[in-house]
Amino acid sequence: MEPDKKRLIIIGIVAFIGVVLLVAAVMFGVTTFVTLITGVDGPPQMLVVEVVGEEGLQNASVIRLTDRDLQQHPVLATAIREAGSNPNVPASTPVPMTGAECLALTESFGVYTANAPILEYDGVYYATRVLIH
Amino acid sequence: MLAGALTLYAHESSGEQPMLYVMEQTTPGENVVVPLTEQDFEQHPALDAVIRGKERNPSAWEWGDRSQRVIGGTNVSYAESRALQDAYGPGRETWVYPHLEYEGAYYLVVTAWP
Repeated sequence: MEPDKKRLIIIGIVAFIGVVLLVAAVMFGVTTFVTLITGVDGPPQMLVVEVVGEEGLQNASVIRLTDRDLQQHPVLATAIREAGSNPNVPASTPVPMTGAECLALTESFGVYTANAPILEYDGVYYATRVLIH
Repeated sequence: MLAGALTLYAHESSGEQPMLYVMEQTTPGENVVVPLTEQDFEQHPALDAVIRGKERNPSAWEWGDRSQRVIGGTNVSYAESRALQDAYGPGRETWVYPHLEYEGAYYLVVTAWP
């Protein structure tokens, strides 16, 4: 009788641990899947940066970017690095960003506004576009 | 809870880091106003650095919604990002952000996970 009771307790503990691990694995999988598909805070958005010549400035507003600006906005830094890396390909490939990053870039540099300003960094001028999928 | 811890661990191991952004608002509107204290800054050094430290880098008011601007941003760990959202993020039921008040200015805390 005594060994049966012990066996039942052990089986119960193992079953409990199994259920906990199963639930954790399922939740982890679902969370990761949802995050991969939607991003943490909304549908995927992309930033595209394109080098423009001084003739393209016309009457546009120009914002001069500092190194600190690029440190604080890594998406913009990535796009600018890419657009400036090859003179034959003046536009960056679309760089994915979250809704929060898009909001921060819009409030800081007007990237997602009508008549978005031109950004200048290290003597090169850049136009920006936001793509929403 | 375990799933949350595992998710956090997986993100921390990815080598990337979330960004903390702090937005300043001209007025609090009808949102709940929470005064920031020295204890808040001690518990969240990243918030301290952005609002009154070396990561303060305010943008102009003239872009986007002109009633707000970005005060600055910095990298934080995933755990810190979650702690900031739990403390200063939108309410679970209302999804409305509280406004944080410090020296007469109103702030919102936003975090971006890569």
